[in-house]
Amino acid sequence: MGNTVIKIFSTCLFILLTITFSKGQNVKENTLFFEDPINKNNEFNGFFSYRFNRDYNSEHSITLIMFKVYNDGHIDSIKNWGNLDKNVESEVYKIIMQSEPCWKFSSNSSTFKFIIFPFFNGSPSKLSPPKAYPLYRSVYEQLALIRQYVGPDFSNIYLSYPKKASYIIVEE
Amino acid sequence: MAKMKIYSCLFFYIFLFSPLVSFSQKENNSSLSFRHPSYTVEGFSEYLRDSVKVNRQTKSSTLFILFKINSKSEISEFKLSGEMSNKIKDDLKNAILKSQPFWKSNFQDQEYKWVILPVFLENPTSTLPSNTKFDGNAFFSKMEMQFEWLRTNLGSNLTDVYFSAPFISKN
Repeated sequence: MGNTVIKIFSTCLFILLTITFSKGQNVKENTLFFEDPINKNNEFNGFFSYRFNRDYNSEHSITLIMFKVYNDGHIDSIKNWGNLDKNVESEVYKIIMQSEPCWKFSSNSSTFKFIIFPFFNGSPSKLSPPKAYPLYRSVYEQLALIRQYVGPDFSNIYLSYPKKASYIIVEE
Repeated sequence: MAKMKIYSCLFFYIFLFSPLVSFSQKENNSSLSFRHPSYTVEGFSEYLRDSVKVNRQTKSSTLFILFKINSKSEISEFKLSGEMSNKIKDDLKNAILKSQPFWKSNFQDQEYKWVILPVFLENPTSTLPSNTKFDGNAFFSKMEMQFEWLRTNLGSNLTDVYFSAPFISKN
């Protein structure tokens, strides 16, 4: 009799642990981290700002830059649908490639994640109404195109803090 | 002897199926979809465009709206990244709340997703009257703050996020 009770108890315990374990795995997700080896407090935008040579005279722009980071750390498919000046664009892409060693995944369960990096450049004080309105339209179009490119499910997206430009006004 | 056989079978099935259950749960991603009979699949922004009328004189603004949808398609925690007129805000909120029955998910009891809705008031493709002033500086710095707000509110890994096509007002 006692033996049967122990067997039933151990079976119930085992089933309970199995259910708990299964639920635990359901919650677990593959998280992407950015780790700057020089400054541990740096997010990607901080890493980027430190390396980007700001040109106060460059054309103002708001660009949503996308790229893919893979499990093995490499980066590819860098793209944007904005109107970024070609010289600025190549500098931005170069810095993004330099960030390859800083991206770490918490597990191996997914092969890649998309990064969205909002990049603000130029001096906003130069934005006259005729120039500002195309910028407004461009932000709308970029968001619509990202939605078209990725779809509504953003579970595979990492959103970076923006690289801002407005503090230029404060400095003057 | 018969009891021993029953226990052996029970343990065998538990050992056999527990890794499979764990594996299938891990791979089973939660999904959310907007399905309204009058609109294309995921046509949430089209539904809003027809539900909310924006006056042509409405002050131009761009912002993000966040709201949460749970496993029962209940909408809660309505958040705005910027300012807009109370009238438009109420109209948008009512239209969003009325969309509840059209959200379909495979969520477990405690699961939810945040919906990001980019809002553009005033049609950028329309021709502005010559005396209308669009404050570019304000737009630029507000957009910086709004992307920062989005990142602060949702974190970096957007695991539980549905991104809607942008809503643009229909004059």
